Order: sequence, then C-alpha cells, then structure tokens
Amino acid sequence: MSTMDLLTIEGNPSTPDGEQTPPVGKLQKKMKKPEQMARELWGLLSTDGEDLDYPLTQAGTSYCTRKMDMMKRKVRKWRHVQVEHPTRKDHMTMKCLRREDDPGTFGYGRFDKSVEFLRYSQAEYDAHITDRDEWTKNETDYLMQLAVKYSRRFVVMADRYLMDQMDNQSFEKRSVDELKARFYYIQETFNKVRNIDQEDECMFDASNEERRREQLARLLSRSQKDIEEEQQLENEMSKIEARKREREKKTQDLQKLMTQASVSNVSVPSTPHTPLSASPSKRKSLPATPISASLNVDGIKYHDWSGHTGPSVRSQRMKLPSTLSVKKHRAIDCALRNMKADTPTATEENVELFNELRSDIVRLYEEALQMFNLQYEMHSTRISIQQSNPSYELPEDLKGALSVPSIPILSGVDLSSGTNPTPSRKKRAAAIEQGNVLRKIKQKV
Amino acid sequence: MNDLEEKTVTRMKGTTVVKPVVYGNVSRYFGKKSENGHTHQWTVFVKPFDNCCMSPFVKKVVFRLHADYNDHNRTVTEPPYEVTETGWGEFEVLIKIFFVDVNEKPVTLTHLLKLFHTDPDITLGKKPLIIEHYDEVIFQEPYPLFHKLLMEKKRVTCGEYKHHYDHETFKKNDFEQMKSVHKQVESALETVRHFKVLTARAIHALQEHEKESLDAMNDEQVD
Repeated sequence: MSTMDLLTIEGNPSTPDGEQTPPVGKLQKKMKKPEQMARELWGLLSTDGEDLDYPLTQAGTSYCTRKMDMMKRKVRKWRHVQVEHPTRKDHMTMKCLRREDDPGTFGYGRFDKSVEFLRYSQAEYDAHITDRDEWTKNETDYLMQLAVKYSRRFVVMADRYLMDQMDNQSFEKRSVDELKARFYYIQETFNKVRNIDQEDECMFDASNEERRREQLARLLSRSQKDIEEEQQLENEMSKIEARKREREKKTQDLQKLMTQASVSNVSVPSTPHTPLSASPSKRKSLPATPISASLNVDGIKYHDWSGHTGPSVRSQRMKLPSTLSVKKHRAIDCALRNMKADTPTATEENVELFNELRSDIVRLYEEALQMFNLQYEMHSTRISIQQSNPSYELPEDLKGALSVPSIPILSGVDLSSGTNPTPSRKKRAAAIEQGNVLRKIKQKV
Repeated sequence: MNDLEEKTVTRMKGTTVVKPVVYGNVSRYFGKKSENGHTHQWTVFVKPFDNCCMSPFVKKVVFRLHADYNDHNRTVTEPPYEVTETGWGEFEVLIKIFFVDVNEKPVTLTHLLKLFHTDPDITLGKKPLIIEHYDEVIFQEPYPLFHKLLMEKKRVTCGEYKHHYDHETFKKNDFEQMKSVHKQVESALETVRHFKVLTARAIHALQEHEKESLDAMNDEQVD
C-alpha cells in the first residue's frame, strides 16, 4: 500500500476513490469519523482526535459497502434520434436511442478502421524499391489496390487475387505469405523513406512464417501413435544420458583410485608394520646394505598444496595434518625440544626442510619402536635358549645386537613396547615371517 | 574495481606470486595502572616486508581483537594497516587480509598479542616490547588482472617501514639450523635402522639354533 493510498484512506475514508485529497499537513492533524461507522466504535478507536497509526480500511474500499442511494430524482429523458454513420460515404442514416443531453454521433463508428492508400510515384518506386525480381511495379500497384479494397485481409486478398484482375492484367496466383511479405516490405520501405513512425509497424519474415506454419502443421498432424513414440524416445534419451553420466563418474572414480594407488606404491614400497618385507627386488641388497629403502616407514603426509589456487599463507604449510596421532605429535615436540629447534622463519626452503625434518622424526620414532619390539623378542628367545643350554652365545658378528644404542634425540619420548601394543601372537607371526625372509636371503647368497 | 569482478578470464596456470609480510605488535607499559585498569598501550600491525605498498592488491585488513573491546572487529582500508589500543592482557589477534579481487578468498594470520617480557627495561616501560613475525602470502594462479596489480611496484607512501629485526639473517640462521638438525635426525635414523636389522638377524639366528637343538633332541629320542 503506498503512502498516498494510506493518506487517502485516513484522511477521507468515506470517499476513497476519485474525490480530491486534502493537503497532507491538514489531514494528519485531525481525523474525521468515517461515514457510517458507529459512533461508539469510533469513540473506542480514537481518543481526542489523535492520529491512528493504522489504516481503518483497505485501499479502494470504504469502511463498509455503500448503501444504494435511493434519493428521488427526476429521470433523464431519452430520445430516439437519427444518426449518421461517420465512416459511410453513402450518407446512410440510422436510428438509435440517445440521452437528451448527448447530441452524439453513431458510437460504434470509432471501431471502423479504414486503410489508407499507400501512394508512391514511379520515381519513388524506382529509387527505393530494390527488390524487383519477383514483383513488377504493376503487380505491386495491384496489390496495394487490393489491400485497400479488402482492408489488408490478406486471406481474402489471396483468394480474390485472380478474380479481381482487369482484363489487361495477368498476374500469377500468389500465396498469402507472398502477398504479406511484399506488402509489408513496400510499406516499411516507404515509411523509412518518409520518416513515418507507424505504430502498427509489422516486421514480416516470410521464411520464418513458412517454417512456423510447417512446424505447426507437423505438430498438429501427429497421430496418437506418433505422440506415444515420441514420449518413449524422450524417456530413452533421458535414460541414456543418465547412464552416460554414471559411466563418466565411475571412470573418474577409477582414475582417482589408480592415481592414489600409484602414488602410494611409489612412496610406500612396504607396509610400515612388517619391517622386512619379501619384496623380491630388495632381497639381494638386503644383506650387503641392511638399511634399504624398502624398510622405510611412512613419514608425515602433509596437505598437498600444489593443486591449490588463490592466496594462502606460507606458515600454514607447516601445519601438521590433523590425522597425525597424539603420540607422534608428542614425539615430534619432544625431539624438537631436545635438539633446540624451533619453528623456522616461513620461507619456502625453510618450510620444506622443516616438514621433511618432522617427517624424519616420525620415521625415527617408528623405527625405534620397531627396534625395541625386536629387542624384546630377541632377549626372550635368547633367555629361553640359555635356560636349556647355558653355554650358548650369539655368533660374533651378531653380538652387536645386544648393546642397545641410545637415541638422544628421542630422550623423553615413551618408547616402551607398551606404547605400541602389538598382540604377542601377531608379534610372533611377524618374527616368523622375518625369519623366513632371512632364510630365503641366505639361500640366495 | 568492477572489471575485476568479471570472471571472463581464467586463472594463470603455473603462475605463483609471493608477497612477504611482517606482522606483530609493539607495546609499552604506562608505568602505572590507569583508571580503567589498562596497563599497556599496544599497536598490532601487518606491513610489507619489502616496502612495496600493499594497497594495490589489498582491499582491507580486519583485525579481530578480544571480544571485550567494543567494536572488536577493526577494519583498516588504507596503509598503514595497524590498530592501536590500550589494555591489560594478552590475547590472540586474528588478522584477516581481504584482497581487491573478490574471487580470491581472504587469508588469516593469527598473532598472540604480547605485552609482558622478562627484560627489566621493558617491564618498567623504559623500552617498548616489539614482536614481529615473518610470513609469506602466496598467490597461486591468480587472475591476469589481479596479477597485474600484484606485480605493481609502488613504494610505500607513509614512510618506509623499518623492521625491528633482521629477518634476512633469521631466515639464513633458521635454514642452517634446520639443516644441522636434520642431519642429526638422519644419522640417528641410520643407526636405528642398522641396529633394527642386526636385531632381526640375531632373532633369526636364535630361532635357527632353537630348531636345530629340537631336531637333535628328536633324533636322540628316535635312537
């Protein structure tokens, strides 16, 4: 509801439509009781002529429906008069009822539209009409005459086209579209030349019209069977599309899996919990250089920033992944403290090095855990052997395994086997597996 | 900047622009407690490291202070990007940098506002406490128009920034330290791995021996 509506209602509720609206300042001061509102109700609503902050009625309607005005008045007189049809040239008169005070002409005359004759000289025609292949000037003139005669009813014009010709004319039969196209082309051209801005300017595109008719004819001439078939085809089409999309999704998923697999194959040649895997390519190198790449345990998998777009902060790249376990977190913190290393200034090389460093700390932690587990295993086996055969000792070259090296970097980190609780059965199996591997290696050597 | 909002062009593949920044705070002790309990005046700031003006590509910087401050989101649209306040406690300030290119998400730096230090001169308010951090904002594959703005080399207008710390040396020292520490870890890793294999082989030898003696016992029993 616009403000004006509101003002109208508030200020003059009895006459919401049509009557003069009082000036804004005045009507806001004092409000009158709407017509026909009960005095009691008005008394409840308004106290001391204060403004109501809500409208009493909706726009366009008064407080209640107006009662019919049954005032007695004199009836206006009507006459039966003769009027002339304004557009008829033959001065035909007709009779109709008119009110006394209305001199009036024939009212329906305004619905009559006469078509003006579009006139042009030979010179004008020659100068402006460039499209003369299909139509001669004579035929064009004839078309214009017909247009006036039949008030541009092109269907009629086409129908009468051959019949209305003079004896000396012999124009071929034209279709409705052809007539229309020519007529509007001529009209448009001369309107442009004469700078006439015609309201009912019609842009007629004959070829488009033709196609439209054809399409419509096809659409309307479909049989029930055709419609059913089309519906069926549409359904099939959507099914095919859906299947295609599904297939694409599947291949994408597969590709993703494959890339993931290839990445993890490269970086993790063996699983971290079986330290001596039976990877055939590594067997040979194992006894000669026991520290082999195949023994590597996982470092830290940092967030991959290479595919990132947009701005980011360098120090953000030093963030440890949230999946990292609390124990590893603690190990890293402890190791960094032991080595008095702090988070470095965030340059590219520092960040890379720092990340690699922490990755290696995690590796060291994992390796140390595994080593201590193996130590435990070794000692328990050795003790059980020595119980039956006290004179038994390890071979000379393996005696080094008895002196546990200290790892100052990890001092303060809990490395007892309790932190890495492997069920003894599993441990046993792992040890046997290691034994098998080593036997195989020995055989090879 | 309407032209930047149009996504008519694609990101520049393989292009990365790095903008080093320094952020931190300066604080000074009043020497006494003021009526409202505040003891320090501090200024938290973010500034370019290389004295190349940031205004061509930075739309605004929002400093989010502790919620106790009224109007605790302070927006600074013009350099110098800093907020000066008084207070009595340390808290974490979020520094959010918005860029001119609306397609780029803002980046956030966090800074723990420092007021207290063990140095007696600083504690007594004779010297201001200055904390600075070096960081880098990396723009990966910016849009070409934004790239142009990033590459604009405009000297800062509001006086050159003098950094209180020699970040270049820090960088070098940190790198050297990282390298030496990394070497320590690597050598330790090598030792542990070596020892782990040795242990594994010892276990194997022990198991072989166990088996042999068992076999021998079995043989004796058969005899």
